[in-house]
Amino acid sequence: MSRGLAAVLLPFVLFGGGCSWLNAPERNLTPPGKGGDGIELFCDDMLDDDNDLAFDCDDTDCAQEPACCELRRTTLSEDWTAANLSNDWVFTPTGGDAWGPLRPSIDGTTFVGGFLPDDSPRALLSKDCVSLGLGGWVSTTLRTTDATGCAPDSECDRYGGLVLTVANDAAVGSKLQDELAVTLHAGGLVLVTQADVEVARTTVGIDEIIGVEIELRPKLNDENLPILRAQVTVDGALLLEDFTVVAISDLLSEGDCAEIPGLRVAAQGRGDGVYVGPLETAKQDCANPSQFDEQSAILTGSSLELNPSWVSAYVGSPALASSRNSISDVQWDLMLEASNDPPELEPTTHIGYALGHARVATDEGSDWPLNGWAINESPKVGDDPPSCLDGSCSDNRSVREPHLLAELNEDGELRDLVLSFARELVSDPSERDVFGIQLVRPVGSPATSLTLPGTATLSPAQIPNCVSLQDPALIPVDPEAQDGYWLLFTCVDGAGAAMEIHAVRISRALEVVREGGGPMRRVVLVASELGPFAAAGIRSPEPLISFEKDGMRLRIWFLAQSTPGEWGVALAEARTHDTSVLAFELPEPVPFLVNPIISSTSSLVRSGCFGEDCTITGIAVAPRADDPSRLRFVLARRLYLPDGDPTDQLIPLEQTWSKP
Amino acid sequence: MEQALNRNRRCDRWKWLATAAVLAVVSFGCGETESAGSAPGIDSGTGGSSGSAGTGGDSGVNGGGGAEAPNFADALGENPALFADPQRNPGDFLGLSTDATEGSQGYAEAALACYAAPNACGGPECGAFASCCVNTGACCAPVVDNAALPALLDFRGCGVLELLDCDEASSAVTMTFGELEPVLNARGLVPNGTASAEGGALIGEPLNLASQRVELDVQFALPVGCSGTCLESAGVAFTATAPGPFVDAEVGLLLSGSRELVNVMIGNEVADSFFAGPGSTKWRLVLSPDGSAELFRDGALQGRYPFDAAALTQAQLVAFGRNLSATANSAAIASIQVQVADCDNPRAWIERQPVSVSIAVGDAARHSFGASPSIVDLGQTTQVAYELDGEIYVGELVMPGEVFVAVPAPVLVPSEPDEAMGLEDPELVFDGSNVFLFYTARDASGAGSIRAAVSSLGVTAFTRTGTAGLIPAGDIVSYEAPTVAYRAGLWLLVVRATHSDGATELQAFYTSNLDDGWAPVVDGALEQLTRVESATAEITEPSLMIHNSAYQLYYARRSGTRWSVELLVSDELLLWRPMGDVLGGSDEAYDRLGARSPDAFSGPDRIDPDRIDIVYSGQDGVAFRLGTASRTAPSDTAPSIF
Repeated sequence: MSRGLAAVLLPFVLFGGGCSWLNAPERNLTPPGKGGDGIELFCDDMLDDDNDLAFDCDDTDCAQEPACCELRRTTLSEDWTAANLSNDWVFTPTGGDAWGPLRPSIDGTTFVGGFLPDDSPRALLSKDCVSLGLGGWVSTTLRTTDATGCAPDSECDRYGGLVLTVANDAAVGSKLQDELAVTLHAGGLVLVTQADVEVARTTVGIDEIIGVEIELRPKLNDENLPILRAQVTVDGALLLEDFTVVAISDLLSEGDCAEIPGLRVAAQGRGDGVYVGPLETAKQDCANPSQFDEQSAILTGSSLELNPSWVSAYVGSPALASSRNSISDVQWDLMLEASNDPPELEPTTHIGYALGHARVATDEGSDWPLNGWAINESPKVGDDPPSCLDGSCSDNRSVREPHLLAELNEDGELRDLVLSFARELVSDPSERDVFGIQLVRPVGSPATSLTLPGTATLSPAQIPNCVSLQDPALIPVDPEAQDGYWLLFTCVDGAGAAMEIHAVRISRALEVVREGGGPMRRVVLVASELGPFAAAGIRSPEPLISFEKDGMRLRIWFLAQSTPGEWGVALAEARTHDTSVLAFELPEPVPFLVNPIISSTSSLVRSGCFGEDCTITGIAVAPRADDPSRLRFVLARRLYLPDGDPTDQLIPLEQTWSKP
Repeated sequence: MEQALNRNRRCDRWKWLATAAVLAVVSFGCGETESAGSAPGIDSGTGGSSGSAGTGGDSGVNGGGGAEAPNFADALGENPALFADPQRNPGDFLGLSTDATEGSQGYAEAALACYAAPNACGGPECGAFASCCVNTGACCAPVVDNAALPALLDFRGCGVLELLDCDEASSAVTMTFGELEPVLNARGLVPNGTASAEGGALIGEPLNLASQRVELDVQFALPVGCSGTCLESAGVAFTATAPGPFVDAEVGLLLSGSRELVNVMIGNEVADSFFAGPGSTKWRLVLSPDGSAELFRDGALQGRYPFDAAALTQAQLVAFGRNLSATANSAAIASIQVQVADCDNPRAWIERQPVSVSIAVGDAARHSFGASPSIVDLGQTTQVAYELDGEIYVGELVMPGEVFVAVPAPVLVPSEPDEAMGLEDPELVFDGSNVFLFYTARDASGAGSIRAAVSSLGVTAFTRTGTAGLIPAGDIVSYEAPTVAYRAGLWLLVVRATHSDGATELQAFYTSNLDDGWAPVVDGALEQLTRVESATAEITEPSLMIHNSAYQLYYARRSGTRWSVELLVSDELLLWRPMGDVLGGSDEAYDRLGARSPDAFSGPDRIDPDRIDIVYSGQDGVAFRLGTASRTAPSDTAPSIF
């Protein structure tokens, strides 16, 4: 890989196999190319998508997929030796008399058993939920020591086993509600149950230590909704596979499962003679797009010291770029849209927006500061003020939704920023809020203002079926962007929410590439094909492309709403081994299994929110210049304070996409 | 009743034969009847013999089954009609044909088309089916008494006043809001909001858009001299939250003066826009409980938009806007006209709450967790039955959420040889004279049979009827979870049947005389729709009722560990319209994970016939607790004849 974009792109070569962790077998995608030049598109479709003689998880392309990921991070490890088990475990049923299990040591290992008195099933139920929603493992050992009165092929009134549950207790006389349970009966019968109904069985020996492992992986069901599937191994033999445990939406999502939903685990039994050994749970330790690390500092228009004359009522739709400066500090370029009038007035009247630019340098590995950003008090692009409700600035034209593409030299220093943004095109004074797209390079420092060129780079007149073009974002078609870019944008086709994201090829000279008499255009995402999370619209693509040794991966974060006003952040990914195709085609992105990755009810959105009206207004993504395996996000949200007034925040988040 | 029975006889036997034949061959997958080999044996109470019941001795009643076309018409003699509305006659259907076979064919094809998809009832022939009244926004009953909203508000008649100074307008206004008071003038209501805060007024009382259909007619006055730059707006919408600086327009219309557009607002976002002029334009927004908003402009349909009707159970009509111009030039709301009607939305349950059982026994708290509740209205009292430890209790529903068991003992306990494992699934039915208690009797092997007992209105003790029950025979190894509906001399029974291979399905039966036993409804679609062969799912606990000329069959479905209540509706107990999940988990603690064991009831003789009540068991992950809910559902709006 040569210079240019190498610094930002090279680190992506180091991680992952380049294969998505995404699966949607019902989508009829065709692998690009033949004879091993494609990629294993789906990792559980029992097909060799890229003809490299490696199927699904046997293909290294799939190493990071939830369907295949074997990296484990322990989330619970219980050897039953703690003096006081009640610190971590609930002794159910809590409504009955207090009880405690026996803890015999068998071959040097501590077991729990003796679920006595035997008038009720009893269980040690984990107080905390364990995250399993994006895949994981639950394992233990079971042993029966006394088969008296119990046959090897029938249920017995003495038993012990492992339970996965959403319940926080059990009724006296009843078992825990089992989403999945593996139970060893005293005679040697092992039953796998759900809702206490048998789904599989086997028989094991008496006085033998029996290993039990439940492996859980997320999938999409026939209705495109995420579910958790299990395979159960008992005593080394696969007993149950591809079994639907529970819908992801029905998992617990509080406490330790706030970021990744999960279940409680329990050692449950009745009577004496059957014992449960050490219990361990682990979650998949591969890519996890739903998990974010909150960073400091949360920025606002006032913390950036932008002039209230143009930012007093709204700041949002951020764009972010990371690079190194001449002394190898990390430089952050942040752009945003802002207005002196609230966007809530949009349905009533035209609101004007302008773009601002801020920059700060930090030490390697450090967070950015709250204050001290270099800015120009005036807009980078647009008017000050951009909006006038009294009609006094009716000649102003709105500019919105910036996106920054950082082009770096071999040292990671900023060579160029390419700015794209939506600009209002008004052919008649009575017509407002029709946008085209402007591309600009170079961008310059925050102190440098940009003057709008006479014509937009791309206008709706060039794009059939789109009445307005918004939310632009650029990706290069090769590591150096020598052959230009794809410009992604939201195609607004009417007054309601947009339903499609399109892309148009752009040359290195930032001109539209034509094909068949019009712009070379592809439809990238269509809301109706994505699933219920996007049923009411999609917008604001935020793409990130990485060129790797054996291909490229394109990740697109975007805003999606299931019902009007409920915007969340979703993710889709496309990839191919054959990067040369990118100059002509964009591989079709496939939605992540568990979208949205940030819902409108997430604490990231709702924290500190008064009322029901806190919303996501944008998201920006950039790999850190000092650690490109770490992605930095800026989530823009608008929240209402107790006095009813809105305010805007730019929340920094980070995410790791690979493990050494 | 006599009149109904006489009219019912118009439905001649030959027509029913033709209908049965048609329904046997139409393409809902019952070409090979499930009755083959699975017809029930008839147990004449304590000594009945299989096959002895019925008047015709046909295969269905005899339990012989077989592949030959069953003749249930003979089984009921001159009273075979299964229509929920006995006045209906398939031969009259839409006047398609005077030929019985063709008429029946047309009926079946039309019904299948109308039931094929959730929104298929909008088809041209579907208005004839009472089943299409459910969850479609059709067959609604206009609210005329105690209307929550004034029918007409023409704001132009008061002259120039503040809103609250105009008697006619102020009587409809619940509250005004904004930095300035809304004002009236010859243009109408000027909301008078500012750049920083919306102004306007709340109108009338909240509506439940989950169960009420609203026709909202609005006429706006366009601002004068706006020139594309003014801040002039006027809107009429339903909101679920108190107005702040911005009104959350969940569904409604908003006139933008500068844009010269009328926006359709859904979820506080613009869903569509239309040129606002001229000022005489009449906008009509029709909101249906199924979540469909239709916009008409001067009577012409402009578009349909989905909205979240289920979330708008307390929807407040609000007139709002911002007006920075002189009021004489402002955007205004000239008039609002509202028509409200109650509809049957089977998901729009209200007054959902746990049921507490008061009983003078040592472990009284356990009774609130009794299983398989059943409810019956006896006129003076409403009684609830439930099962606990294999015994059946009955108590009076003394107020919503409270059952009082006066005699602290079960009304029926296991005592017969085939009741060794107890009694389950009580089902109370009132025939106008006596209270019947149908139940599942479990024998020592766990197999279930359907039995009945009877009581006077006192319901303190039940006596086994000694009449025919339903015992498993042939391929059926168990019957359980009976639900019984009684109308005009006809008893209708739906049970869960378990086949020898473990598969289960719901099966329907009927009889005009309990002493004669039950005849199967053959060649209907119920078995196929409810068949379950997986250990990870279950369909059971049906509850059959007749409401607004249609059968409503609720049942519990388990998927994994989660229970929910689903609904099928039918005009004639043969062809069913699936309504899907209608009662699941709620925000309440006791049923946060799901609901099962439904028993719904309504009745024309009740004080409020336009209401459906339901008792059920709520799932919280630990136990199942008795719960109750109700919903508004018009009872007399379906087409009475074809």
